[in-house]
Amino acid sequence: MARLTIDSTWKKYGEFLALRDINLDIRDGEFVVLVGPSGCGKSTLLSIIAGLEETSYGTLTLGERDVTDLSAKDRNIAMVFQSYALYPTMTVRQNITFGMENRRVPKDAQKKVVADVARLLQIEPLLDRKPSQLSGGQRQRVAMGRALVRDPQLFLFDEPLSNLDAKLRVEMRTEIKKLHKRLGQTIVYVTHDQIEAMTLSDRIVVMNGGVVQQFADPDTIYREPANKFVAGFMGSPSMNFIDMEVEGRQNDIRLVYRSNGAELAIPLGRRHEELLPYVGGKVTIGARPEHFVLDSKQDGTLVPVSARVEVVEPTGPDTMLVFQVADLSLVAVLPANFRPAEDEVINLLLDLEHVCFFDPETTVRIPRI
Amino acid sequence: MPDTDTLPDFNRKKPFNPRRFATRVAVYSILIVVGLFTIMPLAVILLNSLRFNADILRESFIGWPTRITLENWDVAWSSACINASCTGVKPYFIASMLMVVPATLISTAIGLVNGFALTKWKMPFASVVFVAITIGVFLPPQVVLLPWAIALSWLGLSKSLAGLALVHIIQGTCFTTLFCRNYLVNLPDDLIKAARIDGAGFFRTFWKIVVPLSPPIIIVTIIWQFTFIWNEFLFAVTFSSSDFRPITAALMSLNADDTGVSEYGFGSAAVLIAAIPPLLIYFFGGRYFVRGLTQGAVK
Repeated sequence: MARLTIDSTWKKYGEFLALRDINLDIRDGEFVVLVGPSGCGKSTLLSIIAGLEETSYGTLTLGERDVTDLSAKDRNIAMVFQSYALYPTMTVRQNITFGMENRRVPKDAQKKVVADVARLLQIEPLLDRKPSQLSGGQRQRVAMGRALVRDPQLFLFDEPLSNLDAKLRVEMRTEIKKLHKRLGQTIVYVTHDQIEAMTLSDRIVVMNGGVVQQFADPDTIYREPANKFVAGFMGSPSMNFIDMEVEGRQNDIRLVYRSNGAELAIPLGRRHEELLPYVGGKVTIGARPEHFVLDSKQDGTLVPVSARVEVVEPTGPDTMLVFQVADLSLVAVLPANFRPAEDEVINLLLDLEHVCFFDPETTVRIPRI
Repeated sequence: MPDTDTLPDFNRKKPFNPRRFATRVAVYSILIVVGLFTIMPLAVILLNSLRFNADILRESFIGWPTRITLENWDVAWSSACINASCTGVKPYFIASMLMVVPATLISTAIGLVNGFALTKWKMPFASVVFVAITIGVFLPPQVVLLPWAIALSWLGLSKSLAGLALVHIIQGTCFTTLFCRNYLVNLPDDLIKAARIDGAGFFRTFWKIVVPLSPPIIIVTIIWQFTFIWNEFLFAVTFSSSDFRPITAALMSLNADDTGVSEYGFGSAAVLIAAIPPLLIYFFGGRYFVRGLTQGAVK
């Protein structure tokens, strides 16, 4: 167990900058998820932490040691790969002990550790099988077993669940979380699945274009995204964005969207005074699908929106609604029993309490006052 | 629920299609003719090895044996005269084996290490090195004859078994590297990364991870190298002497007999003896050969 500090780290491939000035301070025992679209640099960052790639600039500190120039084997880390990377010609037992043999751990100690890990992961009956005789979930367990026997200072997971089917993925997700609770190890976990990121992590690193967009706990990431990218990437279905003009004056701010004669006006009144500097200009409003509701609460933060239903998608627990406002196509998630007809005009309420506002130039979120 | 207990009629016959039938007949006829042409030289030599030379000379070169004898094989193996020494092809066969087997194994081993280093280990200028090595594949052997002659005399290995083996090891490494590199490039990178994290170095990863996954390409390479080096003629003639002569070079002198009579009988047998090792290799390894050439990924 150890804390990991990544200090102003850059990675260059030829002329391409894969990572730009990464600064992360990962606490001892913390479960940190790196998330972002493909090509955002999250796997490169993981490889650098693992020691499989060298940094172009910057330093890595693991525990008390500067590991920047140490090779993978000397960093005391363990890694679980997306493809599991089990050695196909070795049995499960040999797969698990390969690392210990390389480090010349005595046979007796090896036996004991294998037995412990096999019991922990319930893979005892599989020890003498070859990886090809295992199911996806079993291979996943063995891959974790191979990482666990090392008793490393840091665990790295590279999209470990993306080769599993949907049901197994959810099960293994829970198991990984339980395992972390039990062992309390520091974990850095890469995924492109934002649900995995939200459910597993203590803190999330959202990356795009080789740059850390935000490093915060899941609730903050979801409720107070640093910018439009984070807001749009986290959450499914995605946040609705509308560029609106800001009109009015103090205590009477209105947002207006106009296009081809159609108009959407959102009176803010005394709320969201942080938008005052933008009066006469534009802001981007970001409303999550669940920010549209049907029933009016009494707290007076709801504004009515007249919507024409385009598509109704029942998902089981909810109804997903694609609707048109002015000439915009927006998405709402509503209770399952709500099933309007297509082309019907309905009244939705937008909850202004939770919506976010972004500066249209910089895409940075405008903090609330 | 659909009714899945009563089975439908699976044996429905397709209606007769005369055009399709005619096409079939045409295709098979051509294949049979081409097949016969291909097998004919081997068949003629095989039959002639079982005929008396007198019969071959009297009747015709291509013909069915009227009397059968195995004497030709005995003579060819142990008493036929080559360059005035009447030992049969036996010593040359043994000489070939002693040269071909180490040359094959060593060039295959080097090729596998090269392939691994070129694909899975961070090696500076790997692509340049690979291109340079593969140029050797396309270089006509005549071009390298003289350089090799000079090099071998420098090394004191002129016209020796070790010298010829060395030529084949180095020339062959171009092929084996090409084969192994193209096979190993499909090996998942994650395996090598996992081994690195597990603390395995270059040779440990090679022995424990790469070699166990490489039998298909090892077999292909061995078949290719063994057959090529065994059958090779130009280097064999150039870099051999009466002390050491591979069988392909020896066969040429087999007919150079004082009497001037063409010895088709044991000549055929000698040729067949020379062809046995590659044939056996193909016979037992052919399956793997096709599989190894077509198999890209490691499952």
